[in-house]
Amino acid sequence: MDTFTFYMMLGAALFGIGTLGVLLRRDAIVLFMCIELMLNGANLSLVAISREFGTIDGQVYVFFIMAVAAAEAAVGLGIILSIFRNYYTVDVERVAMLRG
Amino acid sequence: MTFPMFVFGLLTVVSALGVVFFGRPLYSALSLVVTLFLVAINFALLGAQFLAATQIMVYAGAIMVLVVFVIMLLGLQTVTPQEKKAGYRALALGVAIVWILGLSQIFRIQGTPVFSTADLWKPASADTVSGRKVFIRETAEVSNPAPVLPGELEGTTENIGGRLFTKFVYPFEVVSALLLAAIIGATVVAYENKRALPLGRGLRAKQEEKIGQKAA
Repeated sequence: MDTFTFYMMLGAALFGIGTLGVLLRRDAIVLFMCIELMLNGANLSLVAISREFGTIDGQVYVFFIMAVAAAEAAVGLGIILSIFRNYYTVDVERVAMLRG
Repeated sequence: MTFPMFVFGLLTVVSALGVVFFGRPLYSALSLVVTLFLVAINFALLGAQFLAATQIMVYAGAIMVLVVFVIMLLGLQTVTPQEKKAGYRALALGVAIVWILGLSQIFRIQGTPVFSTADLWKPASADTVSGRKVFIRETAEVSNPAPVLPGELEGTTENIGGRLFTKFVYPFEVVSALLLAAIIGATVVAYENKRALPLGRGLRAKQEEKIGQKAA
């Protein structure tokens, strides 16, 4: 197994485990952390691909993904705080007012 | 696959599973910090030195600090992982397993592993640019790239900075504007000056009251 295949599989594994967490957990903050895990899986895959193709453009993409993830973290956690202030819970099964 | 690659890869998967399956949100957060450190190590093993340092500074050092602050402010109680319906758990496991297997070497196209680029590049010839593999479908621009910077195409700060300020200068400026918008947005969304967050006893009564009010 060469380096490229190993790191693509590792990125896929991280992404899959993040998906598992998003589907299983009820806590909004843990949900958010599993989404960050998925982003890191994608980042790892991008770095592996950029190394395989002999370029560093993939690493620049990862840099931008990190910046966007930081912005998303700030806004998302602000929203979670807001939800907690209004409903006193962050359980996504209970904060379901839009559910039909 | 060398020994360090395997060890750190295995540790990454183990700590990622810890993020998903720990009962307490704080343990999940600490597990995620470990995972992010290990992903930074994986970046370093792939030759992306600048990204390894940035990952530690931005992800493990800033985003996770924010998450831990929010967990502290909310005073979250323990939530067990599988409180959703039993069918969800089997379905989620099935989806994750199919996804991971589908992206790995289990499925093959005409005998070659899915991840192999061996059938995509020509052997070294006059088209090889400084020993790099030349891919069959490359355009002229990629086959003869403009000289980046002195030195190899490693993930050093110098090389990434060069790319960032030449080829990627427009996304760079847009991301700056995005970060500014995110700062303002997060401040507006989280700003609250009227009531304090109640913790401890009485929380469940307040939850029922508030959710009953909104649902009505």
